[in-house]
Amino acid sequence: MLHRSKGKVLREAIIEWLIRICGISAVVFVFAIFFFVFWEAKGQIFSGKVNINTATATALTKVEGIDNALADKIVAQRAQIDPKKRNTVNWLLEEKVIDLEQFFEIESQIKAKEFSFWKFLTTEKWYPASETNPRYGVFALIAGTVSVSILSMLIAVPFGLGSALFISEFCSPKLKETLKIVIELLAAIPSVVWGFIGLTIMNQLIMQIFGAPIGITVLNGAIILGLMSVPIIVSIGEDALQAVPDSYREAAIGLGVTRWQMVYKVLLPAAKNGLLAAVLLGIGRAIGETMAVLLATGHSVNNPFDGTFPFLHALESVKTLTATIAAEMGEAPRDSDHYQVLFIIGILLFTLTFIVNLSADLIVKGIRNK
Amino acid sequence: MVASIAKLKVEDLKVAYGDKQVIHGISYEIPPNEIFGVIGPAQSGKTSMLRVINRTIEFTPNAKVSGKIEIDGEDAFRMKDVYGYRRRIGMVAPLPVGLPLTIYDNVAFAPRSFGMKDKDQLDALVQKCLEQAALWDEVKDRLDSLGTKLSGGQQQRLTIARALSHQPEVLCLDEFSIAIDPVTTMKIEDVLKELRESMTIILVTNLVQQARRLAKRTMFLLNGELVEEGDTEKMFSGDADNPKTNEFVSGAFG
Amino acid sequence: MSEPVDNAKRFTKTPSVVRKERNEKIAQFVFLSMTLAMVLPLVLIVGFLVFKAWPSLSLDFIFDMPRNGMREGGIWPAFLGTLYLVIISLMIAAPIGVMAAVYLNEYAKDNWLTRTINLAVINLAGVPSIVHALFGLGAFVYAAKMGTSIIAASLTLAVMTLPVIIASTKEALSAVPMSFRQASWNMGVSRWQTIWRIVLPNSISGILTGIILQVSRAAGETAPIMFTGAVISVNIAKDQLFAYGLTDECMALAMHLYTISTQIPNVPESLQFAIAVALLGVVLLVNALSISLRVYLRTHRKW
Repeated sequence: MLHRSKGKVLREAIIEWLIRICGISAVVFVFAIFFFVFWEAKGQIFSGKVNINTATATALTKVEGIDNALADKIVAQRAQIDPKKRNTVNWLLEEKVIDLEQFFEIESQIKAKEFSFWKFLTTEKWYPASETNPRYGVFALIAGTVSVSILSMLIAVPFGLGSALFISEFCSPKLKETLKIVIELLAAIPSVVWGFIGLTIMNQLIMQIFGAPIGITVLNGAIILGLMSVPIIVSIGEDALQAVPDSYREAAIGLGVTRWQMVYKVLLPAAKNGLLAAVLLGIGRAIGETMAVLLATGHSVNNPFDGTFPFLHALESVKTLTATIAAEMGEAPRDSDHYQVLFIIGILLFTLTFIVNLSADLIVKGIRNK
Repeated sequence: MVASIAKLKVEDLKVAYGDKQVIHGISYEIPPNEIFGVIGPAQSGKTSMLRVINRTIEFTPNAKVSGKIEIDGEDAFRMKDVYGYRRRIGMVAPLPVGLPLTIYDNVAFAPRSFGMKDKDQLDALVQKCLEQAALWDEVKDRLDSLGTKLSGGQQQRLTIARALSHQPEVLCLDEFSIAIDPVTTMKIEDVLKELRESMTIILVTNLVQQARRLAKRTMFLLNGELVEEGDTEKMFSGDADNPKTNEFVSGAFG
Repeated sequence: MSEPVDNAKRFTKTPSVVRKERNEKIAQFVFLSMTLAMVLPLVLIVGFLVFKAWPSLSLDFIFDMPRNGMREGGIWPAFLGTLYLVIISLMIAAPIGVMAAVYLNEYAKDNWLTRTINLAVINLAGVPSIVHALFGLGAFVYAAKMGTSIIAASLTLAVMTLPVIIASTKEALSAVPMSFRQASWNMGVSRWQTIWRIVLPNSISGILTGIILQVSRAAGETAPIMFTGAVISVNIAKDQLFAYGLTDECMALAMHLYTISTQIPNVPESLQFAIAVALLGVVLLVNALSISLRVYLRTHRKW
């Protein structure tokens, strides 16, 4: 009788271990993403204190008794100590570079700039590049993301679900195949190309149609994002509709109702969770999209919501959370306040999309278990 | 007739999937070189029993097995080389499965995976197995066409040829005739009668008459319990020890 | 004497039926136009882009170096950079992704670990590309000290494409009937050999389709490579396929489109559109390849 050779058995054991490790890699990557995005932002989150860097040297000169020369000296000397081991301000005091009074002055200066998550979320002032007084409030950026996402969903949800219904219920098998391929191609268009379309074609269109001075606006970004989100809503929505057993349809048709009545009395209630998941995934895509909104919504930090009609001013430019990271990361030196704050925005986005995707997944699983 | 030493000895075998107990402790012995029939209605644990015998039940994550199986006096569960052990047991599933390979490769698949590389040796083995399974004459001119393109009955005989390809000592057939026509069934029954000379055969069957035609001894399983085991003629003669057996073989239920 | 039955009247539609039919027609029309509203943009956009790009389009455009501060000439360095990024990232992501899927589909038991992995895959797929960029910056560029380089950018892209490769591979693997595996196990063939000789050969087409789709995704992504490897302009040797090294910075098509359309003034319009068309062409071509492969294989199944 033939026996498997030792080498073969050993090789298989190694391969199976490799496979196991690869399987676990997905978990490792999720943790790694979380860890590294946190790690780069840790200075702001944990110490709560801003470093004295070149940008704040100018601010130091505002403290009584510290002139330009001393401020430069402080910054220069700080560069020689390891900021991880010693708190800069305490060091200045110990080394008698500054006296106690100046110490408190600096402390209060710093206190004013201390990172507070609440302040970060709720203030509108986003001046990361200011020499004298940089401020990091992301409220306007959140408003930008929210406005574009909401408006894009107003476009994408009806069109997406309508198309899903048409493809699933109203068209011939041949047309269905073709449409599904078209949707797949639509989903494949890179986001930077969508952004380019927004920047060139949509920009002109909006300026001409609405007579607006500038065409790269909330509306522009929303239309582009809407078109980008439609494919995902259609394909997930169509899956949800296909999951409704044919017996439901036959029973309804057997009762003599029209197809349209069958759709909205039987099909929609039966598939509503799956359709909800489709919409959620569309929202997740809209929130996380970067290049398209970077190019299509303009560059001004601006809250498009206000109390006056129509509450959402779609013809204003905004800047979204994602676009801010993409546009500003290149200019932010590593470990500067600006750099770390951009990573905090990253954490915010990660958390937001995590919640959206998780809920969509739970909803879909709920259907499957029923 | 009691053989000198049992080929296969099962002691107090229990199987559960999660919380659901499907076999409640059965014991029996199978002497070498005979056909051992297993009958019983659906859900009585017949397939699970076979999966324990060739230890593929280990691929089912939540299955729990206790008890003991001895092959030639050796403890099967303690054998280190599980793949080597499985090769001593041939298995034929209820539905014919032609692997999506050529007919030749279907049969040569197992020997190759154990390191048989010599072309002449393989050719000879493939021919022998296909002949034993009464399929050679029908396929000898198209050995390189796909196994999946054969008819159901031919695929089932291909499955048997494949099971023979690793030269097993025990051949298990699990309701092999469920998806094939009566003519092919009779052909395979003839095959089994010949194979009996060289190996022990466990025949799980849904046709009680098939057990009567082929098996020397027969076991009746019901809901995972062994109701009766004994000489086939006695069990089918109407005066079996257990009245349930009489009812079952006469078609009262099942 | 009974009333004579008016047959014509008997088959006239009642108002309710008329209303029903009208509603049905309206519904169908509305859904059709919604679908068209989604399909038409694709056709219009592609048509318009090609129309605008026409003056600059030629085969030389791809193989020429950019000239005059990227305001003239071709896109060779960007094209080559994208080729590098796509090939390297998939050489990393495809084996890991396929093996992870093999683990999940063939080995994993239904326990907490498996559930955690599945959850991780789903969430990894939903992470925005800009967050992947931050991750790549923190992990590969800084922590692993790779600097902004092709390898750092490729690794970032690899992490991004991994969950989708896992998902599509899993689907392809689970399409192989369980009975094939059982038949192989019954013959005493080991688990890995069953996977290697039976499962993988019969799902390879589905696996490939999924990986090819990720080629187009990796080629089109901009955000993940912006800070990790792609730069505005690099001088490379002309007409040389191995002009970039692993630790070099590179140009990339998607990044090039962004740069040209926002960072550089006075670029002729047709050049901008030509870059967009080139990127779109690459992506749609790869997708078309994947789709036709799928259609071909669906009609040539072995079982």
